[in-house]
Amino acid sequence: MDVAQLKRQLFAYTALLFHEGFLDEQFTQLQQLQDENNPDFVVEVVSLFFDDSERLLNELAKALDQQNIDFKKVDAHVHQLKGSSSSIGAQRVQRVCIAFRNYCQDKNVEGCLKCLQQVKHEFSLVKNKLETLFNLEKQILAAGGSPPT
Amino acid sequence: MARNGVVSWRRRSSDQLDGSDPSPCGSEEVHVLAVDDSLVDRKVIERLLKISSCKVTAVDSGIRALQFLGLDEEKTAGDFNGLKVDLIITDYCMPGMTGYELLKKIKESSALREIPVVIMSSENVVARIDRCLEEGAEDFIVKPVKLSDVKRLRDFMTRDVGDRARSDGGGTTHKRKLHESSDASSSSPSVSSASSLSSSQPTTPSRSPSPSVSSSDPSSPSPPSTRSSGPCSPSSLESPTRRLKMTSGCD
Repeated sequence: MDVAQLKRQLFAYTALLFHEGFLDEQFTQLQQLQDENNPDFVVEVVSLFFDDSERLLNELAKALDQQNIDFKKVDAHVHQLKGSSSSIGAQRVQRVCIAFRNYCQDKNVEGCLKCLQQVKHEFSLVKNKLETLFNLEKQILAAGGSPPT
Repeated sequence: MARNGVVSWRRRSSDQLDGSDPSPCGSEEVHVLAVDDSLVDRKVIERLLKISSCKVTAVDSGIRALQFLGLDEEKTAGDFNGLKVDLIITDYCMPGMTGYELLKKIKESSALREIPVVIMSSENVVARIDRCLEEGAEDFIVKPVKLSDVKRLRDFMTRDVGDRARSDGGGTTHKRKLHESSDASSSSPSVSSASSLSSSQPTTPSRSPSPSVSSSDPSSPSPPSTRSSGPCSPSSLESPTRRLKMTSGCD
């Protein structure tokens, strides 16, 4: 595939992710912070987000598995996840977190467990899609194209 | 710290003290201390600041911030590690010491109180914003932080650093100055001014390019009026004492 085709693909794919709400304006902000001196900025931040989220999801699973659930603790983890997903523009993850926090407030175990599943699902979706997006960028670079802006 | 004209590329992504990117403005390079417990947010704020020609030191807690500022138990206030801090930008919700507590400690210190402090928070709570401003915060930025937020701070800081360099670090307060000027300007979609909030519904981290105050959209934090939202609960913000007691889970 030539560079032009790849770029069109990347453009279309990115637009789709925005359209479907996986990404929001904050992701665009991050892209604007990337330049030739910091060409990997977005990948780096997103990787941090992936690692951090996986950790938080594990903590959440553990916390919700307790006999006596500490909802403050659960809420604290969700708050962190909400914050970091917001910071990278992972809108759907962020939205589930908002609902999740409400269930924490209400100490609603079922609601929390449901949200945990939802947030894991959304996280895995956005992770997949971002990895696809980064792959496209890599292909463009490998094919001799300039870094997409 | 020596500043020659050579940019040290191997340190370009470092947030440590001796990053030697020269400021395009020349002499008045702004040094910002960024405080946030979130690794992701630290990375983002650091980049936002650096791209806005600021030197950045990023730390992950209020305690570390105070240590860096020379205000911990073992040192006397004013015993800086040599690098003057021109602005402190801190997250509000952090485990241990919150941004609000950090703000108070800084304003209580004769050595540090002149340093402007900006608070960041993902929660758009009027009571919280007011409390911070009353405690002496220069500004309050609703997360996620955008380039336009930092650019505005940068402009403010350049003026402020210049002023402080010219006067003898005297008692000029720029408190609310940025806050008032951003009140007048409606060009930035990101919201940080509190006075525009007190009379109307809380402004949101607006996703649209429209500069006007928009009502809540689904992606914004839930309105403060009805429910508490966890350890940083707006409903418990009335009493400072109670607020402090509830910060244990807050991050």
